[in-house]
Amino acid sequence: MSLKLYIDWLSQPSRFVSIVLNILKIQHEVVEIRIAEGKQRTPEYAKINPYRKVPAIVDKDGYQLAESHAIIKYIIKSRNIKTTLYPDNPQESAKIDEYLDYHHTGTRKLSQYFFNLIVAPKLGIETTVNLEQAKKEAILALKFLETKFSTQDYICGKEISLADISAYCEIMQLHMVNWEFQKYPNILSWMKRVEQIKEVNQGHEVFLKIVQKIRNKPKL
Amino acid sequence: MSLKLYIDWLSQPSRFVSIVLNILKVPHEVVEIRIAEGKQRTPEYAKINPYRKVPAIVDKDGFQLAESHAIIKYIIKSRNIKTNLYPEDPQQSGKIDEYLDYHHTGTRKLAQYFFNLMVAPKLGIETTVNLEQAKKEALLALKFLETKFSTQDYICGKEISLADISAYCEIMQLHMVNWDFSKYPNILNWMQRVTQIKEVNEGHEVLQKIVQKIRSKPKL
Repeated sequence: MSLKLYIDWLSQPSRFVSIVLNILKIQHEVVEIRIAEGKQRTPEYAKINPYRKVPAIVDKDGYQLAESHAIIKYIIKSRNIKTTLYPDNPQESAKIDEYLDYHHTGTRKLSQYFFNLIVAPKLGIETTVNLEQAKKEAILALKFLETKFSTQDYICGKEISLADISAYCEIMQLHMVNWEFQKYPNILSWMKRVEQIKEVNQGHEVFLKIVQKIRNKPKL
Repeated sequence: MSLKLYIDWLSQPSRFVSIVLNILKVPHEVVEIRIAEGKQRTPEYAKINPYRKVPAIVDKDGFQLAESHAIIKYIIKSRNIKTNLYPEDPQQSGKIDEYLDYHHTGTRKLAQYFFNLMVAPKLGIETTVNLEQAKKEALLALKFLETKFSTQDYICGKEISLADISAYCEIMQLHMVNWDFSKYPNILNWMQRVTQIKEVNEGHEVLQKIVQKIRSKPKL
């Protein structure tokens, strides 16, 4: 039995896990769980992940885990991987943890805006999110990073880390809504640095195709 | 220079850090940053924590860190602390990380509901949160834990962990709005187990007093 990764390419945390597993050269089998088709709500999937979300893994011995950041840290610890994406040094890993925790209620607001503005209407999904509020929170998240990148190349300093990859998967979604990135030149430069990594681009191929399809659909 | 912890007793993640530092017997100095008085917005505090939130620490060598879960994991790693609250085994710590990540958009919804229902009106703070939506999300978070405690004593299994302490600090706030816990007997039992730990109760003394004062204030 191999390591199985359950994902939806439309899901930012799913792409994060897939990309990092590939960078770290961790062999795994990808299983698609399509949210738009409600596949995360089946009883079968609930046995894999009671949180009914993606991503999730089932390791070789049957061990199950959800939450993208927890998954990657588990893989690094259990395989005893040495990587500059998440160094052993407690102060360096702490700064990455600090960003990854902030991410849930910070940068992740971009998904809320992106999903509710472009994806949900096309898929006929009703949402209760206030779009103006979601946009404000998205702008705050971007401002925070724009300021950070005025003094350093990556979120946690001079080297790319898990923080940058998780953040990139969120922020790149804004290309899909024709976001005015010219107001965020530091973020644009940082995105180009992150895109130097081939696994990052590979991880977005399917996403880009899906979003093009969605954009071409007539509104329901 | 000692380890400094910057907190507000009204803040759930602040209490979490304070309680765990005390359980682990890590000496530290507590500095109060009162959110209600806007103290997190001063330029002085921004130098300590650019995220302008509590909790935050400044370690003996000047290392600064925010985010309650990141802070505690850093303390455990940097002091090389062995504790059942966060075992070294990757599968055990994986499950605790999984809960702590979920917490930000799961159990933490209780704080949103509690703060917006009870604290903000008394302090004259305007919020944009839809209270009905916040209540729904709070109910979902409670249901999830109620189900979990039907098969195990603690969030991650047979032993108490960081997950339980973080969750407890959120859930106990509902006592302050006279929440109908009779519908959640498993959660009530779990809360009784958690409050066996004296540091947990000590960490809530100040909150209990503050909330009594707030409840006694005439509405603005």
